[in-house]
Amino acid sequence: MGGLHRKKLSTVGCLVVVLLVVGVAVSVTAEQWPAPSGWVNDYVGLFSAAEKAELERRLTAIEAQSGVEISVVALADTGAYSPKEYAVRLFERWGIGKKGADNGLLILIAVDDRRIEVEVGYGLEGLLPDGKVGELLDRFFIPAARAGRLGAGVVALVNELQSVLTTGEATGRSQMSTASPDALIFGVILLALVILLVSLIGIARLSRGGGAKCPQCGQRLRVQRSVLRQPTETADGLQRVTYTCPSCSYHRATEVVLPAIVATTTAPGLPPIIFGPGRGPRRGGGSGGGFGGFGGFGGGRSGGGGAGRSW
Amino acid sequence: MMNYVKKYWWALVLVVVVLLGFNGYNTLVTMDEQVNGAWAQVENQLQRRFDLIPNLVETVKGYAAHESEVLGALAEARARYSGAGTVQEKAEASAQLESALSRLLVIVENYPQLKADTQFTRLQDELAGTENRIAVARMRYNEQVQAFNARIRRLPHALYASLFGFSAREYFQPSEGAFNAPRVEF
Repeated sequence: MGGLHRKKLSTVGCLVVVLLVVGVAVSVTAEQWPAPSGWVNDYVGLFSAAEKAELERRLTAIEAQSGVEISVVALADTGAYSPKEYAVRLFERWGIGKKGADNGLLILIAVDDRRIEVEVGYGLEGLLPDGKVGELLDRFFIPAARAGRLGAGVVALVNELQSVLTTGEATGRSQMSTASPDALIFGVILLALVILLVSLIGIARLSRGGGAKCPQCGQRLRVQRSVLRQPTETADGLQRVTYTCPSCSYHRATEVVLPAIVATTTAPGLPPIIFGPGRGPRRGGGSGGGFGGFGGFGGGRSGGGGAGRSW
Repeated sequence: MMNYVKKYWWALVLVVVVLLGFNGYNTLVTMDEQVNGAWAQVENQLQRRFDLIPNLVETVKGYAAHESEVLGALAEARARYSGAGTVQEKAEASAQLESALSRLLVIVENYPQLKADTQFTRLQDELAGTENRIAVARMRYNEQVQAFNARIRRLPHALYASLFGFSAREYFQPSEGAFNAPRVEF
């Protein structure tokens, strides 16, 4: 038996190794891309220290308020690619925006090409259609850029984007709001499960109580429950259960501990869910953004939307 | 024990081959669907361009109604695109549409008032964005097709790809290899 097993294993092992080698051979395509070091990646010293700090602060605030990830990249030129194509590929490489929400935005400034490209993630195309992006560039970036103040132009653009994105959030785009519908659905499902569980326990109790037989005459016992002490969130409760036989003199009483109540809130707007006797985990606070700075991009995608301008 | 192994080694090999076959088949199905998905995205964006054209024509007419030849060519190309079925037909019709759009954008240069029209600027941005989206969708589609076509020609998938009815998919050939097909630039 052992021999057969070993033989099988080694065959499988060989195959796995072969598949791995093939897989690795397929996936080798080397291309050098810079790694992001913050919201702002300035490879040509375009921004003053104050401008860079201002941008980082605003972009952090935007991410905290709306979840939207904006990256500002300044470089000399985009090499073999057109600025737009470079922006598309860099966006893809970095995965700007949250995964699933695709709420990322890339502002790429190619200084020597005298070109700015704004690449908009899929999830922001509704809020920032190409025409709108072009208009923002015309109004906020181009005038400053023509006057030779590129850094100030980008700051003005980001400033305006912040108000567009945060007011757009207020008018309700549920797709990218931080209290996602997932949490709500999760809450509803949890509620349904709890109701099911509690009713099952109830049925089980009823049938158990009803099914208890008198050890003396075999009659069904009558069950009475009286709560001696209500359980609270901090202390257990106590319940007295008495069994009496309707036909003979059999009588039995026990005391049952009622475990402390575990209250959980799942999503804002839902009432707290009270779990039955000691079941269910205590959920911690919701996870969320608000890291207070750049913590890497979330894996968002884009598809060439946005606008660009030469100056 | 070793006797069994010697006697039934072929059964073992058979099992492994069948399992690998399942795995390979599933891989091909997944990749085939990825090609389909990428193509749907291309069509999506082509449709977006298609839908933009009437608006664009209306706006241009407001300033340059007498340029009927260019506007007519655009309408014709648009009609042809709506009749296209296969990847090849769509690629050709979309190339024709691109050339008609390029000509339109050339004549626009002669109408400073039109160029200054905010509605037109907006449309031009939308058109430029759409062209970029088409380029991206086309690029991603072609990448998927390339991966798929290479896979079904390579071993071991080449052994049974045709058996399961997988054949090479068509590339979406760009009209002139430019990333921004009709150069909508500012």
